[in-house]
Amino acid sequence: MGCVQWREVLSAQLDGEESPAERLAAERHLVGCAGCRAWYDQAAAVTRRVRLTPTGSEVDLTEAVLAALPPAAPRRRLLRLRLRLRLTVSLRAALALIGVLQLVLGLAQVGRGAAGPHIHAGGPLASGHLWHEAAAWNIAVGAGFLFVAARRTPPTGLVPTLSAFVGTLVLLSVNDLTTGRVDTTRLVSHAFLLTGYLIVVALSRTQARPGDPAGRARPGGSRWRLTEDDVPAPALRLLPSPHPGSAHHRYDTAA
Amino acid sequence: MSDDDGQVTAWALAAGRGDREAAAAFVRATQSYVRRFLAALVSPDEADDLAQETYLRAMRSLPSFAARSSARTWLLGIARRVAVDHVRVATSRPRTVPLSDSSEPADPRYSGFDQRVTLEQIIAALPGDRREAFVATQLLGLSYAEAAEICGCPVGTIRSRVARAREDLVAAVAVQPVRRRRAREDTAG
Repeated sequence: MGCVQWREVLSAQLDGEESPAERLAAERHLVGCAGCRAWYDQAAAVTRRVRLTPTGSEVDLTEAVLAALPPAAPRRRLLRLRLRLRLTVSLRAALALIGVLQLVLGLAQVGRGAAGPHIHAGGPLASGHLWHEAAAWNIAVGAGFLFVAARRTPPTGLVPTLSAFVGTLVLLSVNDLTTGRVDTTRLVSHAFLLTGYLIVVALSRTQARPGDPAGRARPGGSRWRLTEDDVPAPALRLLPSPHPGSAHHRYDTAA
Repeated sequence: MSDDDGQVTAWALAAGRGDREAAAAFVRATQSYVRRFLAALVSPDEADDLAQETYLRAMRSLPSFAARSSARTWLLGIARRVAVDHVRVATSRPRTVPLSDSSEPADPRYSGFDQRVTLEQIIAALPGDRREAFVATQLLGLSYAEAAEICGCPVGTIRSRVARAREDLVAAVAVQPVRRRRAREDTAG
């Protein structure tokens, strides 16, 4: 190991970054090497001088930096945003549950087939295929609910279809109820559909806000926006030349 | 140096979430060593402007700061990139830069002030990577590991760069007629 390597160890020792083994070995080397001893003393002296170098003038940059930031969103608005986010999440969870129930309802309807006791009174049309068609609708609606719950986009596309479906069903149910053509247990199963529909409508309203078209805003992310177009690029002062035409070169010092 | 590291990091995280008071505290607590670092890496005259540029970049990327390293080393890493970019731009086009007062050649007879000036000059004359490592560990008092994080290189590299820088400094100081004075200064404190 040459003196260059020893001096690296000695340098690390001045910064307290040497290993105990290195320190012992370096001490042994110093005993026998006058050159490294002298170098170590000089390096220690220079290091002390560098560390004692006073700092230059201090200008507080805080105001300048903060002034370059756009104003943060007020606290109340932040709170409202957070509340809304929580509401949306719970609504979607409820919708997912209803979607599953609706799916189960539809599948059970297929399984029980025309033999069940819930066949609507009526002619031969009511017995077979119509029953299956109603089951298919129930399954479709359940799948739609699940889809809306899983996606984060506002479910505006589903709203017209669902509105027509629910509206017609409500009108017909009221009619059937007054004429006694349906039993109440069957009507109760429509409650899933109705609640799901209301949630979809609510979701299509809460998520439609400007600046959040796809509902993909990261929760908890910063509300600060620093677009470089708004703020003029930080102008670096070019040093004014006191003597036009003076051509010193000082930039070779910087790497 | 790591006593208030946790506090600075906490301020940085809060500032990333939009807390202006935390941002102000973060700047106030860190600006002096950011400026020192830049003054030594580029030049004292441009340290203020470059520090401001550093903070603008830092504020822009604060929301993505995940505290994997301390906020201090993270910020100094940004300052280093600012310095590198600045020097690259400055050297890519011919420019006349007047010498500032502090870089006038030191007069050995004028010994009240020149100690600092000559040291600054010697440090400024170090090759870039050595100066970086030396300034981070000596002027800012960072550990080798922190300096390695800032410079993006292994700890061993920092160690050898610091040693090379010390050798350069020892050689440069030995050339100048300051050795007799140094004994006097050491006793003076």
